[in-house]
Amino acid sequence: MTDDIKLELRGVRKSFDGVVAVKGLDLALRKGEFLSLLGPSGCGKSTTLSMIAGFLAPDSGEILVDGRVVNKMAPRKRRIGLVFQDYAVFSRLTVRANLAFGLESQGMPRKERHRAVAEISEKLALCDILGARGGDLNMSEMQRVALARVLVTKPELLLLDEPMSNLDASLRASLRSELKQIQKDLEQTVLYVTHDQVEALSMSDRIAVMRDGAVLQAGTPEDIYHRPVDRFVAQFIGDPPINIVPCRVEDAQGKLVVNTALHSGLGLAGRDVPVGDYLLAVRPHHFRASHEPREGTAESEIRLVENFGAEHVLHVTYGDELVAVVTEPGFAQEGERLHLSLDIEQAHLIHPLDERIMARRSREAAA
Amino acid sequence: MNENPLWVTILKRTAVVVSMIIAFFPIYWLIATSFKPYDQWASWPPVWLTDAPTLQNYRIVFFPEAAREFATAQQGSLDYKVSGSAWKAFQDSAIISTFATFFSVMFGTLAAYSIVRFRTGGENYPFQFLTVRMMPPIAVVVPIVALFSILRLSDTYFGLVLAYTAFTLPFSIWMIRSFIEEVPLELEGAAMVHGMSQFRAFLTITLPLIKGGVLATALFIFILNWSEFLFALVLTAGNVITVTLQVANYVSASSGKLYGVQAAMGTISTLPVILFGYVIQRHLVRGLTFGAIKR
Amino acid sequence: MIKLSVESLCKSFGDLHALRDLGFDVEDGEFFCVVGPTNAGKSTLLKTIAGLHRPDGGRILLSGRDVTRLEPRHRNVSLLFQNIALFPTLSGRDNIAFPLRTAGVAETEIARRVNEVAEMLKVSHVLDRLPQTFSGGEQQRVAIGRAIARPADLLMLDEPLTNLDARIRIALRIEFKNLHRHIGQTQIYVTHDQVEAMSMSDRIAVLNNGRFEQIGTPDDVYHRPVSAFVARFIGQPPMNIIDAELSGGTDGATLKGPGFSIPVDGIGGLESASRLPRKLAFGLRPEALRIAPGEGPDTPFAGEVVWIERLGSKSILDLRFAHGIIKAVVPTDHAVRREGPAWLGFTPRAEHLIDKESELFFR
Repeated sequence: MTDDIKLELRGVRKSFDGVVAVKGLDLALRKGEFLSLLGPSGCGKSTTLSMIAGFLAPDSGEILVDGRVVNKMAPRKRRIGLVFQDYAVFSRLTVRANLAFGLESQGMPRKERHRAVAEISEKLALCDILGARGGDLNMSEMQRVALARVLVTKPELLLLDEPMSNLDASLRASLRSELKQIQKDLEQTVLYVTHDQVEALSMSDRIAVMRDGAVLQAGTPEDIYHRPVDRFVAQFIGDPPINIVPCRVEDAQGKLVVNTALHSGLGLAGRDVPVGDYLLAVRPHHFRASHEPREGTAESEIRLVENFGAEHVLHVTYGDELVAVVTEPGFAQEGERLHLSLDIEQAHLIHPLDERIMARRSREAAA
Repeated sequence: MNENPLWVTILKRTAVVVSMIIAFFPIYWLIATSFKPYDQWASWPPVWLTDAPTLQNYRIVFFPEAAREFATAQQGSLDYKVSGSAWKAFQDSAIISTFATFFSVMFGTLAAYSIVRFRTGGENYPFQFLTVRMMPPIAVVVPIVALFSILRLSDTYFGLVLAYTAFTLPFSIWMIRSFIEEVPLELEGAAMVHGMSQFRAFLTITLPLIKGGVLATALFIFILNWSEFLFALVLTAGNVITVTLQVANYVSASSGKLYGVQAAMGTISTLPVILFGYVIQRHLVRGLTFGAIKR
Repeated sequence: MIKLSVESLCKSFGDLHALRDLGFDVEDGEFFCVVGPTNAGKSTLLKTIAGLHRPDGGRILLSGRDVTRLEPRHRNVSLLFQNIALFPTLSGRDNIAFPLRTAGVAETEIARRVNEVAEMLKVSHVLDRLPQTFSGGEQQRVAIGRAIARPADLLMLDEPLTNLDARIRIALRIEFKNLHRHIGQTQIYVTHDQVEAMSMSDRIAVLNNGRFEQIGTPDDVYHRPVSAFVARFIGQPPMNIIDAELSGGTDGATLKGPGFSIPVDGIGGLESASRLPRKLAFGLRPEALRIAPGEGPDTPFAGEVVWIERLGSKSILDLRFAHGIIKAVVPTDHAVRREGPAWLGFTPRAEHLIDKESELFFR
């Protein structure tokens, strides 16, 4: 079991001038796993990465690679590959020279070097551009060269620090699947640091959501998206963001029901929570909009329409707040009124004080 | 990651100490000599720290009576050209250096701005400016002396100010140019879009940002002017006298150089520069655009 | 009413032609978006309109007057720079007050206006601090505050949301739209992100290589792109473009490609196939594909799912079909959710037929 753990962090802490950046972090990465550290700026994800790479020493706790503590090991001895934001491909060197660069400085003999470069360029489809100069590459090639240059040294662990944040939006989408496929083909263990939930959702085997130096939740993208543990995780994942409105859970003749500013008597079958005030979190596509009133609908006004081409997001009044509702294009215009229902099965109840998510329906209970 | 062996550390520290001694020795010797009595100025073995400190050298610099007394004490054989006190030399140097520095930096800033923002003169223009300083001053002295006497600028304040300004301008332009280049065009652009002319935007936005650089340049130019000797020597004839000339004047045909008096004058003449440096040091802060620009 | 009119504007830097013969009008109160890849000429366009670059040719008319040769300060425009460009030596308050001061507004009025703007942008707490102490979002908002403090004829925003955290970006997107509604100012918004362009604008101009590919409403550029560039740039994932050949006579002709064949009279909105060349292509939005685990009347063509990218509520499928990879978007709970064989169907529309030669759509 422990054999296939590639990287492990045990109670890792780090503070700068008394300000705690990372507080007691526990995390394990399996061999061949793609794990994303996801969080806003200043959540401690980059500090964590720096400690794993060896640029920073933790104040306490242990970092283990292949079961060995590497806290005191120099960065270059850890066999960790790093790719940063700006890729740093040498623009005056050919792709071949770029790839051989790391090996040369390791002192690998010429013959082996050639073999290693040939091998990696085949895997990453770089054979045709080996003679091109770094400065002449397009962004997709640049990313592959940057990855290949690190992968050719056969790192135990690949660390990626927001590698796509300087790129055009359209480019990012295509590089995402490219990177994921390379990782999958090579069974490379990857730790990926990002603030972009789309990157985390689309590429990771597991995501660890960080805030204020601690991991709030670690799980599969499905877990994180469908079963967030608290308000922060729920709000951080998903675009448009999840809607949060106040609600009250009441006992209606032995049945628990939820009442909100617009909807009342929403059944809470299978969930057992104390009666009281809560927050209700509903994803924008778990609202249903219709032009005609139906059972369970309430009337509301459209304040703002965001046109995304394939779908429209309507921002509609909900009590004193606005909620986002996803509809097909051309469904309704600004200023119109519509009738709204919500799928309570898919909604989360948030405790108003500690902001934990209450009474998640477990799979077993649903089945 | 500091894994140097002990002997490397020792070697490094020794190198630092040795270079500090080399750097500070002249300053120490200057100050020490300025307090030595006549017989210890050039005695052998050298006197490191005098046992009879005296202010006589300083008195000679400032009071003609003290100079006469000294001459009498030396059997009246001193025929140095000190006609009056050194006050005039300090005064003249201060006037010339200050004005020359002011003009050099002012014209330098305007020229540098024009070169950076309007690409005045094309790519190589700043470099062409610097080539002016590539020939040694002695090479251009003769034509300049001729030119100055034709224009009747010899031995005038204006003449020296003009010469100093012309000869330090390339440095001003070259240094200030690099500071202006660091100020993003968008900052001035924002000021212009929001209602300012380009010149006003330069004065109110760019200038405060490069203030430290401009002052550092001014200090550098001031030091050049203050310690200039060659032009002062050939372009004056007694009407105007600078500190460097006055120091050289403390020479006697019978007794050779008056080292103690020269040292006293030299010590005093460092004070204005140190004072200037001290006054502007809090402005010498770099990286002022921090927080203004998204990276 | 036309607020801004740009006529055959040209600008080059040395050999680089940044703007090539651009012409467009912006209506009073419109939110006009210029979208394009990096180096398309977007920032140059804004700076030229603001008067910070002198155009090589063309005219700029603002509120009916020719401002082409005017200094920036006489144009009555406002510009939010891509790199923010807050005055580093001025406090947040003085930064926002800057345009008001230069316009000679009375100090009491300035104080009132700065507070009003700061409150709207939620930056009241940083007014007395220097920009270097601001967070990224605060810098952005104060810069916006400076840009809107004095009502200008035209407000230009250059990539105001890039470099911000993804979360803040989403929140600010809506704020910007609300802001525009609130102040009702004519705005030109520049971005490389088609999502921002689509969701915020009244009209979009797609800029590529110094030229406009298309100017139109979000629905126009999304549903009726004029060129393959626009089709690929707008929409994420981009529009699939599938090569096909026209075979048979004008009657009963079919659109054929590897693995599929569609009768031409099944193409929605097509009046006549007579003017179509034999070799063409058609565009297909990823959400317009029909996918099913089995063959059916709606899904007659065989394909294979080779890759699934899950994005929470929806998934993007990469399908091997017609000698290439095409992309489809389906809800996460769709019947096809594993790699393997799948069946697909589609109905091309007349406005999505592309001339292979020119890469332009037929009109």
